[in-house]
This record gives sequence, structure tokens and C-alpha cells, in this order.
Amino acid sequence: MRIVLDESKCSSLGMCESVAPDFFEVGDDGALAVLDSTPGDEHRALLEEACAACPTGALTLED
Amino acid sequence: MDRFVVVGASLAGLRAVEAARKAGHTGPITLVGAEEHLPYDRPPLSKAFLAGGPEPEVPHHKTADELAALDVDLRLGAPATGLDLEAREVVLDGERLPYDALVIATGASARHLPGERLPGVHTLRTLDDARAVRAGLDAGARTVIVGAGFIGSEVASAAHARGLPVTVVEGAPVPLVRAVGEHAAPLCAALHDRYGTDLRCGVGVAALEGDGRVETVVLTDGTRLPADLVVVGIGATPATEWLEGSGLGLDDGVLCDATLATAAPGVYAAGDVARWTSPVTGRPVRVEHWTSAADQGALAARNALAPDAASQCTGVPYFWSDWYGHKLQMVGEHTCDEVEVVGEPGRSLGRAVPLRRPARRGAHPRPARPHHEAAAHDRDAARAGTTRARPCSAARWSASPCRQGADQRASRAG
Repeated sequence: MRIVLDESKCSSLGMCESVAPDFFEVGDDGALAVLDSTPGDEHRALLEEACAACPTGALTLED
Repeated sequence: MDRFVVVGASLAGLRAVEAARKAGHTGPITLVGAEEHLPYDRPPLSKAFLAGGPEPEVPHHKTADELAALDVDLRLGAPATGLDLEAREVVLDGERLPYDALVIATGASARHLPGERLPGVHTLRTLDDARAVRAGLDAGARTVIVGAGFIGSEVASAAHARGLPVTVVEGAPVPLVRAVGEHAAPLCAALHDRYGTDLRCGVGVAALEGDGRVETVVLTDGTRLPADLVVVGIGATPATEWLEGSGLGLDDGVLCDATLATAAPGVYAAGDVARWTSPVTGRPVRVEHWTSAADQGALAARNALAPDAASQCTGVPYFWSDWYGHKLQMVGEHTCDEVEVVGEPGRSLGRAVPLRRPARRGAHPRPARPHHEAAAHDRDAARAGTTRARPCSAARWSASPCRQGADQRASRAG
């Protein structure tokens, strides 16, 4: 599983980080860092929730 | 197999459909939408969608193919006209849709000024509205905004960004006090000043005049403002007309309990249209924020399909708004014990979102997303499984510069 970030859509609100702080972090400069872009499958439910929380649709999961 | 019907094809309705499939519902799902368009996202309509240049891509939530993958019977351009609780049927024009479980997510409609609607005068709620406002801005309109709330202020920002003259007329002495509280409201107003928008508070609109289309906004103090484009942003009312006489409890929204269930069997509500009793505060509330609609849509679907395992809606209000390149955010209710302003315009903290991160992440307070607070509340409430008397003891508010270039990027957001 891979977390795909579309930087052109990200507006740095940090919804993803609020759901899954171990995987996402908005830095002081506003740029979103994906802390682990190839997480294990045991995190799928959490990461699906994090992606769904993004108001700009910037995050997707790919297998 | 249970027939699941969702009325309202915007964010809450779409999330209801997705959640139903995710929860393993294999029966038929019908999604009914009043507008012709595929479900789209509304927040960009008053933000990036109004930027200069070619019209941005419509911010659809899903492509037609993605919707097809959900195996949902889409009824677009087909506003529901009634609800028959006894027969358990949603009434459309010329058709009745039987349901076993129903989620009402018809949202809210923009409030209009009384009187005739002259061409050139718009509200901003739908894609069609946004296109009309865009066209006005493209034509270099002298713009007058009625109402200095979030929508009005975002349109003012868009006009300002295009270098167009814009005046904002607000009836209250200070805008947004009801929405963000007395601490943060003056800071919002100051942003208009800072960017040279003519904000006139404590004055109403007496008349909109024009020959064939709007030409002048006449204020209650006698001022006459020339205008080619008038955008009315004076709030929204829940879209419940179609439910009148159905027997469903209505009071500024569809009345629901903490699980978003109405008093009618199998009928739930979600999003802007739902007035639910918050287990957090014990008060009935109706929230018009994006995150609430997304969360409630999914929750209402899960509860409607498995009422015996229903869980409560515990979300804490959160919103954001983009003004003049600043991102305004607030979490919590300002009617609480304490409002903390952690970032304010004019004093750039050089951070995208200077709300403090909970200490658990390290010894030093760090900038954080406000939703940490909301998420923490959710988790606490879920863990306790009961009402917490005053979990929302503080609201936090911030206005911070958008990341450089974020506006350009956001303009392509879909």
C-alpha cells in the first residue's frame, strides 16, 4: 500500500495529520510531509479515514 | 435486501453512500440530487474557483466512473418533493422511491434579500451561482457584497485579488460575532481594512436598483453604491420545504437525536440540514461546516443500516476560510468558557497553522492542526461512551498566511 500525495491539491489544513499523526505532518512552512509512504496493511482503515478527511482530495491510497 | 435511499447529493449524501458500501451494504442504493451536476465540493466555489484566468476544473468529488463503482442509482436533477413516512417512500416528481433506510442530506439554501431578483444579483451556494459570480468578476464588475460573513468575505478577497473595486456592506456593528465570537470577530474585520476593502458596518441595504440589471445598491443611510455585481451572503436556511407536512419533526432543520436518527423509523439526517442533539453539549445544534457534513453523512448511513449498533455524533465544530491569502481556522464553540486566539493577521508567525499541538508529541509546544483538539474530543467522548459536561472548554482561532503558492495550487484542487 502506498500513500499518494497530490501536492497541487494539498492546502495544508492538516486534517490527515489529525487522523493519523504517525503518518502525516504539516511542517512549519506549511508543507505536508508523508512520514511513511509505504505503510503496512494493518494501517489501512486508519489511512483510508485520513484520506477521506482531506477536504481537497489530495490524498489517495494505491495498492 | 434493504433498500437504502439518500436524498441530497452533496458531501454528506455522497459520504453516506460510500459509508454504506464500506459497511458491507450490498442492497440497492439510490442517491437523489436536486442539481444536474455530479456531486461537487462547495468550499472551493467561493475561493479558488473565483480566481482570475480560465475557469478552474469543477471540483467534483467523484468521476462518473468512480460513482459507478459504488453501484449507486443516481437521480440527478430530480429534487425530492415529499416524504411519505407511512408508506416509507420518498416522493420525486412523478415517482416514488421505497426505502428501508433513508438518510436526509438536502443541505441548506442561500438566503436571499426580499424583493425582485435583478440580474447581476447573486447568492453563492451552487456551482451555477459560482459560475455567474465568476462571469461578473471576469467582466471587471464593480462588486458590492451584502453580508461580511465567510462567503461574502471570500468573494471580496477574490475580487480584491483581481484588482477590482469591492465594497462589503454589513448590518451588524462588527461582522461574524455570532460565528466566531467577540474575540476573533474584530480580527476578521481588520483583514478587510488591511487589504483595502471598503467594509461598511452597521448599515443595511434599502434597495437594489437598476434598469434591467443591477446598477446601484442603496444603503439605509442613503449612500448609493454603483454596482455591476452584487453578491448576497447573508446565511443559509436548511432545505426542509419538501418535508413540510410529512410529519417529520422540523425546527430550523430536521430534528435528530445524538445518533442522527429522527423520530421516524429508518429515517436519519446528516449535514447542514440536520439539527441534532449533541452528546457533547446536550444542546440541539445545526452545523454548516464541511467536516460535520462529511462525518455525519457517513455516521448516519452506518446507523441507519445498523440501528442496533448506532453510535453517537460527537464531532467538535471546525471550519476554515481563506481571506486575502490568509487561512482562518477555528475549532470548538466560541460560546464556551475560553477563546484562545493563537494567530492573528498582521503578526505573521511564519507558520501555516499556528495552533498549538498537544504536548504529547514532544516537550515543546509546536504549531498544530486544530483538529487535534477535535479528534481528542472525539476519542475521549467515544472512550467515555457518555456525555462529557464541558469538553469544549476552549475555542481556538487562528489566521495565518497561506503557504506561498498554495493559492495557485489550490486553484487546481479538485
